[in-house]
Amino acid sequence: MLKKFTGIILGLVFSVSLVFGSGFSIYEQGAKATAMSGAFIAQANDVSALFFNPAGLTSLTSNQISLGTTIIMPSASFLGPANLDENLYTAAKDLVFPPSHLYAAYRLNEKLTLGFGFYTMFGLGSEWPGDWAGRELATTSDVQTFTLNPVLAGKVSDNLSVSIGLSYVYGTVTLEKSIYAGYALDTYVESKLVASGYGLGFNLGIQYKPFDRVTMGFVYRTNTELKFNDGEATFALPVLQNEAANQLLAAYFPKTTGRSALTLPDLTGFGLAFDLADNVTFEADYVKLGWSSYDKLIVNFEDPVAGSTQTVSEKNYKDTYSLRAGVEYRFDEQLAFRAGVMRDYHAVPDKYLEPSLPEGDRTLVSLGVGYKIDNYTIDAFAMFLNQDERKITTSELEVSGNPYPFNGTYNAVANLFGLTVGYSF
Amino acid sequence: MKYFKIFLIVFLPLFFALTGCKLDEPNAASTQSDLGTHTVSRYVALGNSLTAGVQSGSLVEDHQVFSYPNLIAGQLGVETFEQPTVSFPGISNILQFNPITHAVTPAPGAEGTPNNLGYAAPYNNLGIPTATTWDVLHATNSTNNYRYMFFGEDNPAVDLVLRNPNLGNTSMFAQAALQHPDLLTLWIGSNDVLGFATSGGLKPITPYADFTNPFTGLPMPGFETSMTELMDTVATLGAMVAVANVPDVTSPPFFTTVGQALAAGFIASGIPYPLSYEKGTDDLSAGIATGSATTTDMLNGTVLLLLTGSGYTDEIGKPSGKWYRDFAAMKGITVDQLLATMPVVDTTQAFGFHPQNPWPSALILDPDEIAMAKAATSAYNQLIAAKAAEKGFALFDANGFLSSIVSNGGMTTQGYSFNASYVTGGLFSLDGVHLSNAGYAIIANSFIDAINTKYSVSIAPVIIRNVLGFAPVKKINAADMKYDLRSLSGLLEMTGGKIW
Repeated sequence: MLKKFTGIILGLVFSVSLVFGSGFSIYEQGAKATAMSGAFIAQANDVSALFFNPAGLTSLTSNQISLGTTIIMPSASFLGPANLDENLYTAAKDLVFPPSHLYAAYRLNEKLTLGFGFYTMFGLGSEWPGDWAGRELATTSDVQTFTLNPVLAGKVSDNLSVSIGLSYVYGTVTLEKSIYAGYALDTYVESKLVASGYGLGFNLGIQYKPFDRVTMGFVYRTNTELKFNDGEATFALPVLQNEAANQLLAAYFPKTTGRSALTLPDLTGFGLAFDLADNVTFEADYVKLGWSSYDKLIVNFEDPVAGSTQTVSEKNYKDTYSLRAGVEYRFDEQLAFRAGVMRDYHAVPDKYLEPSLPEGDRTLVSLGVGYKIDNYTIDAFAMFLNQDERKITTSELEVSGNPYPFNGTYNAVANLFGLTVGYSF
Repeated sequence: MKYFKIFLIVFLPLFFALTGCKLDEPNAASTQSDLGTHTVSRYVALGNSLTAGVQSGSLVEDHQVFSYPNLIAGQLGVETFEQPTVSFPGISNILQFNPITHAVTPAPGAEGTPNNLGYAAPYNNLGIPTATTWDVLHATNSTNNYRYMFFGEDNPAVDLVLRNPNLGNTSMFAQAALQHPDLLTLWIGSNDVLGFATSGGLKPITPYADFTNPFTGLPMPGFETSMTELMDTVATLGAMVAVANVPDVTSPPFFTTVGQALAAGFIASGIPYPLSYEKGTDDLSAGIATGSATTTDMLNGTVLLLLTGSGYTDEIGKPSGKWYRDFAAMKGITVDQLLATMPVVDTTQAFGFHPQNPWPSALILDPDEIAMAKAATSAYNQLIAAKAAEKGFALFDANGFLSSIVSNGGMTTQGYSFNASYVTGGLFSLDGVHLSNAGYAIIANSFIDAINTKYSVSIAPVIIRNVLGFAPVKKINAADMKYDLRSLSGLLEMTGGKIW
């Protein structure tokens, strides 16, 4: 029995792994770009270029600051698990995430621009009912990263700009799930893991205008290893009538700590923009996230747990990419209309898909407007995400080292709304 | 105008986002039962402690909610399904497993009390712990039931369920008939043989044919008469009926745990002697008939050591009189008085090895007793099968089902694996005879399978996961609860209140 419980504690710490993936990367970091479904690497012509392609900062003709928020409203559901009842339907709680962004650009001179950005590039979470069929895999999962990103952008020539930047990423993770204590005790212990860590990364951007009416953009962000040093696991124990069982549970589920590291993927993006007319711009982008770096998760313990200070769990994520297309129509000097569409592919293979990150291939469409008045710019968008129904039949998930196949059908949609207000001076 | 434009620019996208995509929700959150042309608005369960939902030696509300009739009622969606519930720690005090010492002992405190003796109608779950086949039609109170007539023992369980004279001195069946059930389940007969088995063969098996009561000299109906009369009477209701037969007494851990452990201990310690055990009755005035069991006999079930013997295995090989001390205490006499009636017993000899201090008969089923129990069970089940077929009832072969779990070393259902091991197997509760929450859910699904097949309906099975994790927990008085405002904010908003 002892062995079983320590195994359970290991399983808990493993699950740090669950929460990052394509579904947890947030690319909606500016209302103008997002209105065009993020196809903005080539254009990068407002201060949100700090995120999409900092080389574009050199095209700004004034100092600019902007502040915005994206309201993300996801809904997810699961049908299954098939071994229990393939019609068993569980809806995750509808959540609202408000990742915000703040950008500032300061023109040092005609050629050099200094920029500073703050944004939440990885985040989101899921919240399933506390007593649902997958409670041993996940109930509440929440992850957020906050990035501070100073950038220096410069003009190499009239048609070529480059940028280089540094990212400081701070991340927090909260994971909750249930642990079943076995038939003899027949009860659940609720576990909660809270960890925070930080990491550093670099980025570079290039913007090139080979011809009139054509702009190309390239951006690369290195992967970032987040180090979680003082992950804290706490347990909510049931109050059983069986006092001896209460004592045992209290002894086997003490507050405990563990260390782990997690590598956020690198990002490679390429964009191509055409001015179809003087007042119409079309852009298509390709953005790749290097999730294949996340093949296993290694957790180290301060003290040996079950005779071992290290555990390894297989993740085997794969690289994923999105294709984005957007168009802007400038009605007059003040008013612009935008639209976009994108297709985003999954990072978590079927075998390892977990309800904490119910991701899948999805299609997004966006609509937006921009309005300039005096020194102010207001951009707003609405975006709709529809995830392909994803039916899992080959699940190889584990709980406490035992197979826990969780086959079933995931569905998800999300509605997004964003607003960014800019000021130039 | 300028502000109107700004308003539109912000508001229109927000409006779109708020009225955007929604998930398609299915009509029902799980597979629904489909009764086709049948309707089931009233369901009644007849039976014994297995039907009442006894677990770990106790009738207690924390586990009664997982009785198989209550689980079936849930799948049928019947409006009411009332059971005679008893507060924690139940009647009698529920057994608890100590995971540190591995001891199994009754929960402390006073016995539980019935919650709804005043319920103004017959219960839907009429399962009476101790009930035999004859009792279903005839027993109405604690002193006119089979057990009382056979052994002269008061049987308060009958009063707990039937509550006579308040319900007009009606029997279990009469109270069922009063409800005009659309569906009736019947699982009876175990107590006609189980008392024999759990007493190590000391208590009698209900004979198949009519007989004369050895205690009173009065004529008594045998199993054949009782079961035939019962099935014929149940058929007059015109309801859908599902019956289950009598499980093999050698399947549950009550009979399989101690012998296996003891044999393993003998082998590990290199003890070469067979276990010397007492055959027959506890009347030792004339002498002791003993048998001997090798470790192979214990491992393959040729003899079955009862769970009640687990407290005496440590005495084996010692000059121990512990059994006789405990036995005397049970009878309310001194150990000297007891031993005076059994001059051949010599407790200075090695307990369990010497024929004058053998493993007591009350703690073992010897090969003859096993054969008697199996023969009786087999005869009972042939009759049950024949009558079920004659009357067109659905039949759940509980005997075959539980035996196959033992012979296959376990079972897997809905991805969960169970076996018949004591404490850890997941199927049986701590008394080793009655089932666990999950065990009863599996029984419910077997009944459902039988009903579905017989009556061409599709009652949805119980989801096993939904009955796991319900070890009894302490209840918190409402006055002691500390409310978390945030968790209540939804409720407050619905009722017009606001926190922030």
